[in-house]
Amino acid sequence: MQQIEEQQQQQGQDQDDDLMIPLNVQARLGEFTDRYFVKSYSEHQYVFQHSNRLYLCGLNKNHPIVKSDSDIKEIEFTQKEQLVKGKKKKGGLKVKSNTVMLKVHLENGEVYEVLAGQDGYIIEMNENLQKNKQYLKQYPETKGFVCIIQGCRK
Amino acid sequence: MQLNEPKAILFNKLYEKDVCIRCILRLFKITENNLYRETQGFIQLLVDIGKLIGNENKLVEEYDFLYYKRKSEIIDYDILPQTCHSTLKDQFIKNPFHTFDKINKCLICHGILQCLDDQKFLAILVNEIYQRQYQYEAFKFQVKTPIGCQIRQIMILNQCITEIGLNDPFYEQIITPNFAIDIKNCVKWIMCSLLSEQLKVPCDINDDRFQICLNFENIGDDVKQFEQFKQIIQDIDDKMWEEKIAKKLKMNDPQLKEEINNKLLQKKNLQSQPFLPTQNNLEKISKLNQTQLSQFKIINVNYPVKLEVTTSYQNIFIKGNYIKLGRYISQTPWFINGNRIYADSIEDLVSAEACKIFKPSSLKFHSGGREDIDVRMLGNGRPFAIELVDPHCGLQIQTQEILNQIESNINSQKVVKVTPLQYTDTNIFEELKNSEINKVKAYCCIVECKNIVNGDLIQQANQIKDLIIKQKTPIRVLHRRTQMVRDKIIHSLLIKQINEKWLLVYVLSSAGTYIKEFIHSDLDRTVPNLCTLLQNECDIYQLDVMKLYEKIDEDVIINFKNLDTEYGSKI
Repeated sequence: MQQIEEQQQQQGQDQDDDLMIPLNVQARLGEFTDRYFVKSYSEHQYVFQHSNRLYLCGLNKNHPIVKSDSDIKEIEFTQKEQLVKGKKKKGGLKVKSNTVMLKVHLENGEVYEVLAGQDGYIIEMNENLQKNKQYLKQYPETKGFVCIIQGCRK
Repeated sequence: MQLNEPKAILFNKLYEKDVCIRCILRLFKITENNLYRETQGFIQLLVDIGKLIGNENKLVEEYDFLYYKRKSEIIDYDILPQTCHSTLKDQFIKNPFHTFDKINKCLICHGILQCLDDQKFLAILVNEIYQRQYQYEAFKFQVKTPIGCQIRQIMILNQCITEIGLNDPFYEQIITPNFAIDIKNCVKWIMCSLLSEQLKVPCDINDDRFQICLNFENIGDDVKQFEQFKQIIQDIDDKMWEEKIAKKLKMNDPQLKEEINNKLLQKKNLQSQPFLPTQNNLEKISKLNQTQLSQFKIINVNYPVKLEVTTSYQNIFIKGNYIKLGRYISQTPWFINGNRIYADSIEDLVSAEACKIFKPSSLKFHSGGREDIDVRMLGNGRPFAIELVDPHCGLQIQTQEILNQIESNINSQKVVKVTPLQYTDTNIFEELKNSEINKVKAYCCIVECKNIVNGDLIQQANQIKDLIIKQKTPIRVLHRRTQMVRDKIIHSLLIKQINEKWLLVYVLSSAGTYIKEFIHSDLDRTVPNLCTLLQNECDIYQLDVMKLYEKIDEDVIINFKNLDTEYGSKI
């Protein structure tokens, strides 16, 4: 086994050459969402499509909630929660891209409606928004996503 | 068998109804094998019967005439595979081998027992087996016969006995179900020694390795024979159910009304369904009494009997551990829409040599879990087993030398290696499943952080023991896995700093943990994660599986903490 380990070491390093890690670069190489996702933006929201054809939806940087100085006071989930079962994700709520998923109340009294952004079935609403409301504002394109949608079968 | 007049009368009657001699012998439960194979034996029997029914030689003359007539027909016709009757074509996927419709068919066995010792038939059968090129030193013989033959048997017996009109204890005995010898046993008595002579190996029922199966089928006929019984069996079933219910009705149960309604609905549905030829239905029919049976008659159909010959050799199992030194190699061949995605797979690389030596019909690859395609598998390797299905050259003595040859062939490649291989059997499945569920695994990965890392937090993280994390199904597999939360345990961490923002992270975790998601948090769907532990934003660049451990204990943790010296630094 000793010999095999040494061989592994050498071969490991040979293989690493194609995945060269630039050790001196200061700038960030990329976000998690840059891998595998195809990004598309509308005026205030985004839809990121994963290579496995699931959609990640949420607010983009230009949304007034994100731009506003005021913090988020309350997030109201306007749709009833429906549990999804099994590998085929049966039982998900069917939505259209303009279905209202959230009503967001800011400290300064403004209220905004957040749309689903994509036709299909809701697989998951972001539960972290219930405890960490500010994610929606601080990390709208990563941790503060709104929902994950499975497209309709054609 | 002791001959007497009632038996002789029945024998004669059956013979006149066009039942072959061998079928009559087995109906009478005659067990002397030679009577089934040599004409001398039963010519004498026919003489004896002739004496009893007052017509000494007539039976023998008739038999001789028919026997020679049939024999000449067999020789004259060229017995080649015939095309199927059009409605049966879809029912046969494998090679239809031989049809018997050119020969006078016995009413019960359809000619199956009549043509077995024919030289031409035997030659074709033996040729078929030779062509498949197996190595064997003995064979086990199996037979399957059409279930419709049993119905014909019941009906013809019933008809004959009714026509004779005598009451004899033997007649009552002969119509009990399972009295007669099965067609399968007769085929075996006749064929085993014939085949054994031709193939030059003995027929051994205890030797499971090489099996030859003759599958006689006649589905069209089976369906026709069973169809006519549908109504009467349904009526009997309904009656039985009504009797059961009648008792309960006296108790005035409200649930019962619902049950009755359901049953009536079921009945309506059943009426449109066909009465299928199954063992269950056969048993119900055999319980019918004489008067009930007499209203039915044998339906004559001309569907030919098909014969399918299947041969198989016992599977060979080889187990070991594999090590994957490269990336972008899938575990098993990966196709999307018929296109091969990655050229190599571990299954191919590991089993190529074994397949050349043993020549199996097909191959199955089993492993104790799997890793992502871009992840290497190092250390002591992952347990796997290959199952060589139906190996044509399985007879060669399964020695260590062959295994060594296979092993050195695999290890001469760069990308995949194996540990010393062993032969095994079906017990390996339990071991592999166990490995997938219970083994604790050590991983090593390269992690980049967004902000400069905090040394104190790294110290803290290195002290963690048995941290429970909750992982929602990662987005990258959410399309084919159930949406749920999985509890996993991070037993230990070893974080080494490469520079201000880059880390080398060793993780020791329970089986089934999604490591990539633990590192980058999968949009906070895995908590707690490395980002929360280091209060930083982390992303993973490379992952290797370093080692598999049987279970978690103190020694394992100590071994884990020293992994970086065991393997040396990667940089």
